[in-house]
Amino acid sequence: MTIKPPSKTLSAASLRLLALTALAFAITGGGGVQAADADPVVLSFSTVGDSRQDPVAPDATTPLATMSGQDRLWLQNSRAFSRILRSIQAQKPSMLFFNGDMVHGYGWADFTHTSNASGAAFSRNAAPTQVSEVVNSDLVKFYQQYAFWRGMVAPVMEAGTYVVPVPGNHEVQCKTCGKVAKVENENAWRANMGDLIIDAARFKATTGFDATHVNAGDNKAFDNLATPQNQLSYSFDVGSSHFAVVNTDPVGADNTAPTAWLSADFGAAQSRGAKNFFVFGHKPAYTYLYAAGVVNGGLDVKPETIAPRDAFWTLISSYGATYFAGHEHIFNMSQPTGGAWQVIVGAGGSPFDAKLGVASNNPATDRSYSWATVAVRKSGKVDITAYGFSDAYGPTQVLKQVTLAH
Amino acid sequence: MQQPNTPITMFRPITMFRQLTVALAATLIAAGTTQAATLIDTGTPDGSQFATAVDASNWVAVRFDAAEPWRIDGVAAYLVGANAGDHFALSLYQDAPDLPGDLVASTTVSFAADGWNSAQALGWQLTPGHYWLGVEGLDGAFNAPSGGLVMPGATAFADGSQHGAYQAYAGLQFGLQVTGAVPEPASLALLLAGMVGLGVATRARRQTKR
Repeated sequence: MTIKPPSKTLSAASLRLLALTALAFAITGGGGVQAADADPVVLSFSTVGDSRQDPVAPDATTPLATMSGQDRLWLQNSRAFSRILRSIQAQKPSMLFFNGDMVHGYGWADFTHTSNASGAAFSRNAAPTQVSEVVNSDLVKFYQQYAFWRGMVAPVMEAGTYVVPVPGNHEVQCKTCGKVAKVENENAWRANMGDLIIDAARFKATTGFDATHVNAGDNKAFDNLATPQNQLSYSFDVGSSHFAVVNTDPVGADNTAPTAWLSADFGAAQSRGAKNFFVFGHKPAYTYLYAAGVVNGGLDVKPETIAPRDAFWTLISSYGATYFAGHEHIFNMSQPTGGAWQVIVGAGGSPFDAKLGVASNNPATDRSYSWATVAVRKSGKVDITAYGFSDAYGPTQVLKQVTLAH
Repeated sequence: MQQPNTPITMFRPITMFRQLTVALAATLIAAGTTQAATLIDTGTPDGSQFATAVDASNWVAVRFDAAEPWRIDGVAAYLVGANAGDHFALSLYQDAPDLPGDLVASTTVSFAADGWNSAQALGWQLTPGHYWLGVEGLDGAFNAPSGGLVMPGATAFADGSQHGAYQAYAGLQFGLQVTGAVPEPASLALLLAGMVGLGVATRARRQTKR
């Protein structure tokens, strides 16, 4: 029997009633009969992406004028993201994969560049002499925003859910530079997220599980990439589940996934007995075209990225993997080629792609802040449940649920 | 004013009054006889609408009216998706109004399996009025399927914000069954007779005193 919340007061009569209830509860064993779950959950994780706020064009439901000073400064949608985190914490998954765009960033992460608010232009001072020049630099903004996000997810870690970060375009790309990835941004990523990727001892202490076969070194050679990819694309095992994170915007190869590395990685994992394959990247392989006039923006953004995308998806499909992505600030689950699932959970607080008042294909979910929680059962079956709440912050609902049989 | 020197003349009316009181008490006890009843039954959800999440952060509640004295013996909530042994609370609140107010009673239920999960032998006594019943996750993640349900009144949810307080939200659905007892119609007639008798006895006593 519980008495809550503490602010509520109980009359003496109510207390007597509660005492009787407790007696009845004790006698009846709580009114429920515990039954062994025939196919128990052996591992669970949640995934969401894109919690960063926009300094110029926030969602119509959170206009700049009413946005808190906190969110204007650190560029997070604190209200939406913290509510998602509360719910995830209540669900008690072992891991939370965050699929990129945890910061607004999108500048050039060194102290000589200072982007304007829209990221349309930046000023450059090769030798800053004023404190303000350093404080306002893109480098410091990146670090500030990373730190704020880390603070937001820290309680989740302390509650038993290990946070696994995935790089997004707002982390590794520079908008003013032509929306291309920069090595300085990749370095800033490692500086601010590297301790999480993957701290096996902390993982064990946090989740009780062993993260094994951690592959977080520099694997750029597989895909002939230009810059070191250590801690940007990486993988590890938990039990018989294999988890891979892919950087979908490596320097010199924006809008592509490191498919050659992933292929070798999958092969090695399968040879050691991995049964379930889960992949996390920022950009979707197949853009969810949620309304008329929407153009491709994922790994299918340009004609020259289609072939690499197809190779990536063929690999995903051949291993029966599930691909979780963000980038599009919306929820969508689909089987692009009829087999493997692509789960877009990029509505973690960033301005919705489906604008307020604009007709979209799935109006019941296109403007829902959302995430997915995945349960791996002893039998190998995998339940994917997508949760969300409306832009009006209504009750949390189950948006979609599928079971994958292996 | 009472007359202390007239014990004999006083003895009979007092005895009569005591006898009447005993008889009336017996009548009132008899009037307390109740009949088992289904007090609330939303029906079983058909899954035609989004299920609602219920966990330690997300709660749901519905308002109902007890038009007469109720004794709630059993409450069942239709929940799915949790692990056997996970817990949720069924909480009875006063009406704030229009939102759950002060907590009246609460009981913890151990989730057994997908479907109706109940608490029995509660014995919650309600005087006529407006109340709320909340389904509140304690540990584990439950889903409350929706669709095709007839809710007994206004609905609300909590999401862990605003001090965990409930927020009004129209149209929320979740499966709920409440069983218990209400006074039988015959008992109500007896109660009425008893009340009339009590009035007559009181009047007779006053007349005797004069």
